[in-house]
Amino acid sequence: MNASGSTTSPAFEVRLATDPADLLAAFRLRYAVFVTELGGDGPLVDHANGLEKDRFDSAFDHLVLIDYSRAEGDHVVGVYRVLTDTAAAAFGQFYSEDEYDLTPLRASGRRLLELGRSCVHVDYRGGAAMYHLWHGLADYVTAHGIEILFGVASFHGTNPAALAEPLSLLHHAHLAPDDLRVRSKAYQSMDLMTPTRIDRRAAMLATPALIKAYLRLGGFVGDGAFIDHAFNTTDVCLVLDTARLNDAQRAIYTKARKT
Amino acid sequence: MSKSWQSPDVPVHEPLALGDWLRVFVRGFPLALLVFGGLALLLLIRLAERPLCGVRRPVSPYVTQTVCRGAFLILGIRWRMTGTPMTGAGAVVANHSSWLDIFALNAGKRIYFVSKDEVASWPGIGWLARATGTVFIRRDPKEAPAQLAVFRDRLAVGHRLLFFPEGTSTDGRRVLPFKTTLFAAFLDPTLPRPLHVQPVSVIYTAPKGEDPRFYGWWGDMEFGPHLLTALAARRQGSVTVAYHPPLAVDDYQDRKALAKAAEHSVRTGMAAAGVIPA
Repeated sequence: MNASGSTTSPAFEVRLATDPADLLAAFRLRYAVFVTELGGDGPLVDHANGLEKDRFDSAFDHLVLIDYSRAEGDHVVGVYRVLTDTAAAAFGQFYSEDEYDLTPLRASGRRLLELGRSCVHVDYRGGAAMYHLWHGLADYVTAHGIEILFGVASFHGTNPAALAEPLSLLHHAHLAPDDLRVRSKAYQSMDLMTPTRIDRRAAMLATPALIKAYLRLGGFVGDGAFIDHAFNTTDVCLVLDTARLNDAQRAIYTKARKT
Repeated sequence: MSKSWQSPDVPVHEPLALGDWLRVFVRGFPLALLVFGGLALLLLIRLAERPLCGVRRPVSPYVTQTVCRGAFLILGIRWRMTGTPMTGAGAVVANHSSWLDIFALNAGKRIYFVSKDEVASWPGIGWLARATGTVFIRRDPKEAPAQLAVFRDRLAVGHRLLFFPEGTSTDGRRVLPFKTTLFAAFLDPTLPRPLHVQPVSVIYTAPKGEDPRFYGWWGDMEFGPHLLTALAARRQGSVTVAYHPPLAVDDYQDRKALAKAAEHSVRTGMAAAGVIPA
C-alpha cells in the first residue's frame, strides 16, 4: 500500500505491519509517545525494552508509516491501529468497549472500524506524516467497505475541571445524534459549562489536533467522557458516519442552487 | 453557458464512501491551503511588484507555477511535460477539457490566461484569475481595438497569452474546430515581432478502471461534485502537457490558415497519445 502513488517521497511508505520487526518498531514508537512523553502505563507495557503494548494488539491491524532512511528497528515513524467489526467479534470486543457502551453502533448493522493509538514520531509532526497515514487509512477503509469509523481520543491529564472548556464545547457543538450516541461506562459529564460561557477559541486551542481533525471532517462525540487513570488521559469517543457526510454534502449543493 | 459543448451522456459517479471522504479530506485541506496560501503570498509580492514593474511581473508567476505543480502532487495526479515551451512572446493555444487545464498549463511555463470577462466575477476562481494576471475579454466586436491594445502591452513585455480556441470545454476525447476570431488579433501588423503561436495538447489519462473522461469537466457539470470526485479517487491518472513547435505568425496568410495549422498540431498530439483516431 503506497501512500499516494508515485508522488510521495520514495523514502516513505504506509503499510500494514507485516513482520515482527515492524510491530516491534511500532511498539517502540508508541512507548516514546504514550509512556515517555505523555506518562501513560499499563499491565503489558514493557519498560525494560521500551515497548508499549496491550492485550488488544493481537486483534488489531497496525498501519505503520515507514521512513526507509532510518535504521531498521527505528524505521516506524507513525502508527495507527485499526480493528474491524469482524476482527472485534472474533476477539470478543472492541477496545473502546472497556470505556463506552457501543450498543447504538452495533445495532446499526453497518460496517464498523475502530481506530486507536494514533501517534507520530516527534520529529515528523506538523509535516506530511499524518497525510501519509490518513491516506493509508483511507485505502484500508475502502478495501474493507467501512461505513462508520470510531475510537477514543484523549486529552492529556485526568482532571475534568481543567478540561471544562474543551469538553463542554465538544458536548454542545458536536454531540452525536441518537443513533450514533455511544455512552461512557464510567460517566463523566462533559456538560460542564453553559454554551454562552465557553470561550470557543480557548476551547479549540486546548483540543488535540487529532480530535479537531475528526470534527472538521464531520465527526461527532459520544455522550460523556471516560477518565483513564492508568493512561493519564481523559477520553472522548469520536464517531464518523459516511451517511451523514453525504447528507451534509447534499445539503450544501441544494442550498447553493437555491441562492 | 448556452454555447458550451454537450455530450449525450455524462459519467455517473457513485456517492462517496467513507474511504473517499477521508481522501477528500486528506487532499482537500492541503490543497486549499496551498492555493489560497499561494494567493495570499502572490498578492503580497504584487504589492511591491506592481509599482516597480507594472504588467511585467518578473517574480509572482513563479508562485503560480509552484502552486500548480504542488496541486498535482497533493492530488496524486502524475503531471508530465513533453516538448519545449517557447520562451519568447506570443500565444499558447490548447484544447480544453477541464478546470484542471489551468493547473496543468500553469505548472509547465509561466503563462497568462485570456478568458471571458464573466470569469472575473466568479467566486474563488475569479480571485485566482485576477491575481494571476488573466486578460479578460468581452465577446463584443466593439471591444476589439481595446483588446488589441491590451495584447500589445502584454506581448511587448514578453508575455505568453494562453487561450482555448475551441471556445468551450469538452470531454477531452476530441478536439473541436478552432474558432478563428482571436487568431486574427495575433496577426495584427502593429504587434511586436517576432511573434509565435505555440499549440499545446493537454492529454488526460483516467485512473485505471475509470471512464476515460474521468477528468473531463464540460457542459452543465457542477464544479463542486467534480472536484470531490477528483479529490476522492483511490487511484489517480495522469496529465501530459505536450508542447508542439511554435508557429511563426508571419508564415501564415490569414487567421484561418493560422488557426487550422494550430488545430492540426493539437490534434496530432492527441492522436499520438491515442486519445483520438490518427
